[in-house]
Amino acid sequence: MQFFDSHCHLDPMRYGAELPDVLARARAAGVVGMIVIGTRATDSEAAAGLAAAEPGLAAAAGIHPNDTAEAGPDEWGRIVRLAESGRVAAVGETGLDWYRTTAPADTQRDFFDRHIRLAQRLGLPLVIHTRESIRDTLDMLHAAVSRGPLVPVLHSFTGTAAEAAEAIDLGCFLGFAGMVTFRSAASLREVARTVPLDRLLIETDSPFLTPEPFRGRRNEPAHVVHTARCLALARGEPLDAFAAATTANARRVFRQAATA
Amino acid sequence: MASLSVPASLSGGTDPLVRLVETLESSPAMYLADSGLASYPGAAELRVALGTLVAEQRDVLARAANVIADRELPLPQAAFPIAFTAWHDVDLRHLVPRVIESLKRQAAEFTTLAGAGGDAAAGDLAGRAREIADRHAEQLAGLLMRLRAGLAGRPA
Repeated sequence: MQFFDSHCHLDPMRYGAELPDVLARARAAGVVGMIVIGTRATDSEAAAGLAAAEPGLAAAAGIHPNDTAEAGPDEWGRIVRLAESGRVAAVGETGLDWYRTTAPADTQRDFFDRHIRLAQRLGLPLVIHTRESIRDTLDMLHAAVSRGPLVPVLHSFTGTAAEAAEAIDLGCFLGFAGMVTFRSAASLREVARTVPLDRLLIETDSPFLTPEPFRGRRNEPAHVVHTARCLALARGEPLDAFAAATTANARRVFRQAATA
Repeated sequence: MASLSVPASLSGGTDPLVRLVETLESSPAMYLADSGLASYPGAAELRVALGTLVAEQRDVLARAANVIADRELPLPQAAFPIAFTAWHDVDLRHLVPRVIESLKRQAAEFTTLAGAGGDAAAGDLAGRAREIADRHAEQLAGLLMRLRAGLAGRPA
């Protein structure tokens, strides 16, 4: 079986010298693709470098909404140059986060809009973080798709079934992470059941959002298998078919992502 | 948790015991505990305080479940709001204010339930639940203040 971790943060600051082992464990588990996500210019550049060196990896370049207050014009310029260089498969992680107020709302909206327009100009998918901000996120995406084509990926989706349906109507792909495996997340599994299989992605968000049965430990791409198993079970689909479909979806979205 | 649904005769929050159970079982603190308190980043003191709160609330839930069972009624099952699933890997320092807000709402609701009359067992449990909510809201607020002031670990 082949799995695709559509969202992970594998920069050396988080994994250090263990990174080769982390990648080896992922490949041994059947993870043939990983999108390494940037949250600032520095880790976006590192992600692009890692993707160039490792088969099956591709990078995304962006500034996380919680970091936008610290990002100056030079840092945004580095993201634009990296995206234009053809070394990344997506723009992001961008979006809106009304939970942690480390960056003012207007600043987050400004950067989200910049990322949207950059993705549209370059024809790249857009990786979106949205926390307690789904309404505002969808409103900005409605405005964006009215201007031109866009392939949005709502990573680590935690919205309702109605919000999922609205996002799918907008052309979004929805990424589900480790929290769907938690006993307490029955409502999220119910939402995942409503998502058409051809719009569904799986992810780890490593090193965060560790799924059961590894809660409390650092997450890594090999664990995406457990999220896939839980989702396949919740949806009543065979795991091999679910894995194949979500891997094909990820390859379709992140067109430049290589295969191992 | 069990997957029993709430029968129509008990739904809508009209039965005080059902309302008590539903309020506690769908609370932010219960969600944090249910999804693994140890996995949330943040100060150990907050984790311990939340663990104590949930243990006391679970004791009330167990007593309520016994009363409901004695009455041969099905145990109500409340669902967590889906919004809670967005909290994972958020530092407890940012989540505890939500817990405190919810404890204050619980205290107001349990005061109403305790004063409703007509069901002595429900009134007794609601009174106990209100005391827990009031006490822990105050303790958590104090702990958060001490952590913010860099005084964690010192006597309150």
